[in-house]
Amino acid sequence: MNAEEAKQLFIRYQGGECTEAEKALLEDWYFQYNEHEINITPERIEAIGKLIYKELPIVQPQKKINLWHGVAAIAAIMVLTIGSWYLIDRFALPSKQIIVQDVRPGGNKATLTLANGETLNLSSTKSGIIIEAEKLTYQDGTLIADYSRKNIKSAQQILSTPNGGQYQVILPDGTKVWLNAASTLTYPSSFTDANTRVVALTGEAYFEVAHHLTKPFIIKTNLQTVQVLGTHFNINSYNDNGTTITTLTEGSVSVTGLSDKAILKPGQQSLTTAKNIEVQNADLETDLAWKNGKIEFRDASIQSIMKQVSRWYDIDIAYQGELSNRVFNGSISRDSNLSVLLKILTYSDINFILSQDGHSRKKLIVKP
Amino acid sequence: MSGYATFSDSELISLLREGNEHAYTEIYKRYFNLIFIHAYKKLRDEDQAKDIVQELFVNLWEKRDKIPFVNNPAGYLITSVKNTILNFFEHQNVESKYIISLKEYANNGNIANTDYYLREKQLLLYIDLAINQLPNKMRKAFELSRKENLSNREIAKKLNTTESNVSKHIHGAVKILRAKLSMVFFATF
Repeated sequence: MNAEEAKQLFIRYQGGECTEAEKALLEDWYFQYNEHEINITPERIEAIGKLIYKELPIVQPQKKINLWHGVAAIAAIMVLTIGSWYLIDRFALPSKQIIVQDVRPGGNKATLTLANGETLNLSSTKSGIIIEAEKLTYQDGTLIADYSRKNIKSAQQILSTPNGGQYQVILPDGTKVWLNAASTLTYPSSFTDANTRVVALTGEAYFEVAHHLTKPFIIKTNLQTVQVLGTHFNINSYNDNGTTITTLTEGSVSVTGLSDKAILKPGQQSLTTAKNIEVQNADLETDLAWKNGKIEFRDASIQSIMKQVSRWYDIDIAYQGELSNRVFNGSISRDSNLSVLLKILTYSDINFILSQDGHSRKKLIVKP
Repeated sequence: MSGYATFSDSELISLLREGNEHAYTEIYKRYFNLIFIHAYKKLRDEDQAKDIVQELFVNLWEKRDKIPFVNNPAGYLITSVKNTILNFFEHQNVESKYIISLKEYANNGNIANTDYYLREKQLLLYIDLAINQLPNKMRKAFELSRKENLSNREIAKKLNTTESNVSKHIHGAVKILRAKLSMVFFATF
């Protein structure tokens, strides 16, 4: 290559006329070029930072912004002054603002129903339980119950999460399950006496099924049955829009519906209705976001976002007026208070009124 | 406004896309040093680096609703500034040092990998290295502001403890650090 050809390479890169190899070569050169030490001081850099900041096209920070212009206080709303540093820092509210109490996100909440009908409230400071034939423990080893002396054969148990709850369970074969809010998982305390490993699910869960040479793992939900030998996948059987969605990340599963059957490959998902099963490519990042501690929506309608919100924040939703059909994209941590999410949506001209009825049931009204 | 320091990178991008000026300011505060130092290395000229970085952040605001849904703002910003700088190089004459350097690099038998995933990884490594090379004060401030990016569940897993312990520790630590940070970092803006 001579100098003229090198110059042409720059020009062709700008014009989008390079081959992949030429593009990669130029970029590699770029990133290693001039990487030796700089002789400008940190103080000088900060000074330049401030200079540029003054020229940026936004209004400089002292402006007072009314952050709750979309929210009205009505008689039934509980009014609180904010004691929490967390909320004040997040929104820098002027001190005389009257605001509505924020809604805290969900957490580790679940109940376990044993074969004898006894119900245990599981600890919210633990994140999961381990099921074994002789005992029941939390994932950190703390004992919940010991059956070793009772000689109990395999017995059915139900793990159940409320709205705003989530919990993990490790089944007797080592299969790990993440249970989302408003869901139940029914399973036996031992798989040894059966030829298959069968569980039942309502709601949503993510599975990492332990491999077993001969015993298939079978998950029954309202509209379908999923069969696996060992693999990782998510089942959403909330039946929003009458559809159960099964998303596969690793391995292979077969999904059998009421009148149709499908086999999934990693990266695919099945949409099962009472009538049929459709297979399509999944958006793994978004479909599994809940298990990774995020609330994420991609090209989602306000209604589908509100369904997730209702289950995780445990509030009722009502709509007033005509909302547009626009779609939203966003991602926030599941540990965020509701106000964080609403703030993002408020910028798109959606307004909210948060209220609480006489029975302490929270309700969110969504309107244009 | 200081509260925006607790938002993760992807939360800030979401808020920026919707026109939130506080999120924009927080992104600027968080990334300015990294981006400026990168530009200065390539250009070795204060004024040129200042112009290019200013143009980058102005565009970031003016085209905010077109920002792609990225998980890695650092990568997005560095890629943007790379494109601007390469465009700048393109307009130099044939004897300029950039062109000579590229010619020598190519003639030294350097072969580039065209695999998309490997290139993404290379970019992330470059950024990690750049962060580690930041002056101490700047690096610490940067890492602290990105700490909330890991969900508590992931941190608990790494530290082999429970989520609620992590949550308690982080909230306690952030409180203390916030007081200290405001003297080191926020006061300078």
